[in-house]
Amino acid sequence: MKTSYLIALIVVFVALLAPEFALAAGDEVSTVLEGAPKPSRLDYPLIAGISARTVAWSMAQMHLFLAAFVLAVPLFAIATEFMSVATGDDRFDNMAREFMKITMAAYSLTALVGGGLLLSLLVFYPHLMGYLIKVFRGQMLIYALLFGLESITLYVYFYSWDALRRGNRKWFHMSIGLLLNTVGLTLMFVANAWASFMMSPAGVDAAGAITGTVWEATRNPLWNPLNLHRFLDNIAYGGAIVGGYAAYMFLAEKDPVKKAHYDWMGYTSNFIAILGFLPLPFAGYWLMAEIYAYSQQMGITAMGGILAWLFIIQAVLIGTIMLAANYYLWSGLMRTDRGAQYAKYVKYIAVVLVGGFLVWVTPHTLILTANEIQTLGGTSHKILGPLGIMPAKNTAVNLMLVMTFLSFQMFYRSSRVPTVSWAKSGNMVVIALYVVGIVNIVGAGMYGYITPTVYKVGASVPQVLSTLMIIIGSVIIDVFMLRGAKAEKVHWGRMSERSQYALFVLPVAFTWLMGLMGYIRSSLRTKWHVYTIMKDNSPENYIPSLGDAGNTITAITLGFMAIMVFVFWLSRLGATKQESRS
Amino acid sequence: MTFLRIIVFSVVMMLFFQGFSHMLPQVEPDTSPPVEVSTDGLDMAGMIALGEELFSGKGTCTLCHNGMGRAPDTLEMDLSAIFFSRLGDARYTGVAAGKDGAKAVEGYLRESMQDPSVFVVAGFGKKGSNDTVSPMPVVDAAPIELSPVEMNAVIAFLQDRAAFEPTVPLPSADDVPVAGDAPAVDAALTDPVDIIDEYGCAACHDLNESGADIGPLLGGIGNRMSRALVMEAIIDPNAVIADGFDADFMPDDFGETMQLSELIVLSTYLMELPEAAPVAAGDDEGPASTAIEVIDAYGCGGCHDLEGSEGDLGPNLGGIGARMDRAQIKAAIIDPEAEIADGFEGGMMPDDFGDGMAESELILIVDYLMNLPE
Repeated sequence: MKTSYLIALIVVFVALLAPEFALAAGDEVSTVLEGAPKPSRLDYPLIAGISARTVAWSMAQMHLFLAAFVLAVPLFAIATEFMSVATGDDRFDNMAREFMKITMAAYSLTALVGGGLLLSLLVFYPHLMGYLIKVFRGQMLIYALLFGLESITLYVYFYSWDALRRGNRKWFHMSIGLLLNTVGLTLMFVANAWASFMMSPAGVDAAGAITGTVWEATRNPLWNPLNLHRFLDNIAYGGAIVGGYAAYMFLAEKDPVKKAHYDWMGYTSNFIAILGFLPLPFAGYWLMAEIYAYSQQMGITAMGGILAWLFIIQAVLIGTIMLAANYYLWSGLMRTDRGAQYAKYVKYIAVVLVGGFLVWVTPHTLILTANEIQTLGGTSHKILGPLGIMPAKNTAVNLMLVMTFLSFQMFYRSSRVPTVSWAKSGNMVVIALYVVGIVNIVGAGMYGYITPTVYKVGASVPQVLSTLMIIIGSVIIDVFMLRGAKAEKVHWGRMSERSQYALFVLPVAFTWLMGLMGYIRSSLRTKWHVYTIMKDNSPENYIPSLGDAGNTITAITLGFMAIMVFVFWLSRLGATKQESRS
Repeated sequence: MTFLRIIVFSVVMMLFFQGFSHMLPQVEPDTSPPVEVSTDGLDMAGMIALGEELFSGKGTCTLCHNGMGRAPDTLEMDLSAIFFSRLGDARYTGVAAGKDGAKAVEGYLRESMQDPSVFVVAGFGKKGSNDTVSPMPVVDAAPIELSPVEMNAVIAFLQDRAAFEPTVPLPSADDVPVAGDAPAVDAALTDPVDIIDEYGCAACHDLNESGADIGPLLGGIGNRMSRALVMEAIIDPNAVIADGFDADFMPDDFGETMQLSELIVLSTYLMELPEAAPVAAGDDEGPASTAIEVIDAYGCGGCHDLEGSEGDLGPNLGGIGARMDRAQIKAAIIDPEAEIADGFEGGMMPDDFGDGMAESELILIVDYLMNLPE
């Protein structure tokens, strides 16, 4: 029974994902278009002095925050649900359901803000929207249909939870979850096609006239890098938000049993956030490499031009996230009685993390005035300047990722005592993996200083491979070495309140970071709606200053966090019952 | 209580990130509507100056053509030698292959800008292309969109740097105007009178009927200097000092603060200034008898906000009487370099008021400043 269900659902998934069906279906409605519109400054509606860009920016960013959350949570909800089936532990199932409960409260708000975004674009940027509709034709209708399907599957998945909890029904329930996630990811990929088309248009000629299919416009050079980046980011972001929820509930609860539950939930969410976060720099690296490959000018604008200072803020935000996530993991060592024996290594990890963070925030290629160059004695600092180039930054970020994984591994091992005979040898291999990997990362970084730019970029590959080797190798060894290990009791709930605030740092910093990266991605188009195809001649076509962008991002983040706190409060309210009448 | 603590904690963190974004250097955007400036009448020296601006401005050439290794560092190379080695390179088969002379260089440069892959310098091609595909964008197409006149200006600039006589045609009235969209802080001004007011030129030069004589008279300058030299004198005023005047008087940052279109408009205006009899403020008429006359005579309002001048090149002196005593104010006028106000640079204010200003005038201006309200 369950096999037939799965086969049927897989057929639907494949059909949905098939580009010729899902993404190029609108081709038959071929539109003759001579080129992209060329609106003049006066063609942009001015309504009551409202800043069109701020409205569209706020709506788009808010929609993205909410969408990232509601698309990500079902991904790890189904993974957690699968864990409950695999282990027979109902705690996973309960937690997965609780994940979805938060999503349900946020879903309608996502749709509401999405509607607001569409309205603001149609009102303030009608020419751009008209053009995009013509380029993507029927795909926008498919998007609307998928959105309907997403709503149906989401409601069915959540409300059928208890009805389909046991036996074969559970598999049916998980199949609905799989459908929900497939539709959700397809929605994201379709929306990414529009955003990436605006950066790297394809399927149109130099004037913007349509020359290719919808699939060609969809499969533009930056589509897949953006898909991967957003997919990983959504997982990390969703984990961070749910972690914030768990921290909030942990702090608010008085009942030790519930506190233990939310501590466990916080730990799991932090794990998910880190899991999504670890490969994110590599995905970001690929995205930026593709941007350079598409347009070197666009790449330099980002990394060495007008937007270069933004990456210093990015470094501060990521450094904040990493330090907070690690602090939370270190605090977790107090949950186990054996944790103390690992605590002595924390200070060394902290030194590497802080050192890596300082290297990462060191600027190098920036726009400077003549006076600034004179004051600095060159275009970069004489002593610290060499730390600002990519070999140093790549080394720093890889070491930070390795140390973050080590923090996690220490907690994981603190609750398990290996019983296999080769435990000592296994530990030696793990240590060797770390040593060889770190030597390779540092060595490749140093090589980057003495080699031309092309090889400098290439030197980052062995660094990434070393990091992955350490992580994957350690996981494989631990899986075998800790099989049948003597489990130590984990005192869930034995956590300081301070650690919960560290957990709350993640969603706030993540949200601000996503806002910042959205600002960078949009700014890369400079004065173009669709890069090189359709000019942005609106009165607000300039790149706002960093401070102005910071104000807007803070306001949007504040709005989003207010919504999230409201959602958390709603979830808590939903679980509160008045005593029955006696 | 938990709810409130989390709210406060989150808000404080957001404000920290927001504050940090304000601490970093700000690149203020140009929010002005696009300005177009006619290049009709621009001579070759002006074309070279325009080309230099475009090379680092709208053309975005210096994004890659710098010392970072992404493209040849054009401005640091011996261009005359390089051009001939390129024209004679066996891999080069473009329009100027095998030719020599300035005209061949023009053809090579134009081709390089319009079709960069015709010849890719070894080691600078796209990865995997074996130096057959250039990563350089076509400059007369989006997103750079240099006009034919602008491309000619860049060619003239590079030919000039290679010590060739530029061979490009001069612009005519039929040519498309130049877009004045160079990086700038504020909206570009289009009226020369406004530009003179904005940059305080009349504080030292006799412009806009200011009668100032701290800087040289500019009437009839078009008969004495080429437009390129006038532009250079604005951007780099210490390169050549007029007889009877000292160096370091004129601000040397107009190259950074003034927009390209403003520079063109201002130089055009100056080139057309008629000869004028010098106006000697205060020399033959005796010392000024009121503080307002002192301010007018010595051009204080050109840099300081005095008598509604809204000058902002120098510190705001409102309420200075509460911060400094008479002796300090007097000392600051006579020896302005002794102490520089925060946020301002030395070398901006003339340091010869001790010689040129009568004692009675000093008393008048110090009295005036002591009583200046906030």
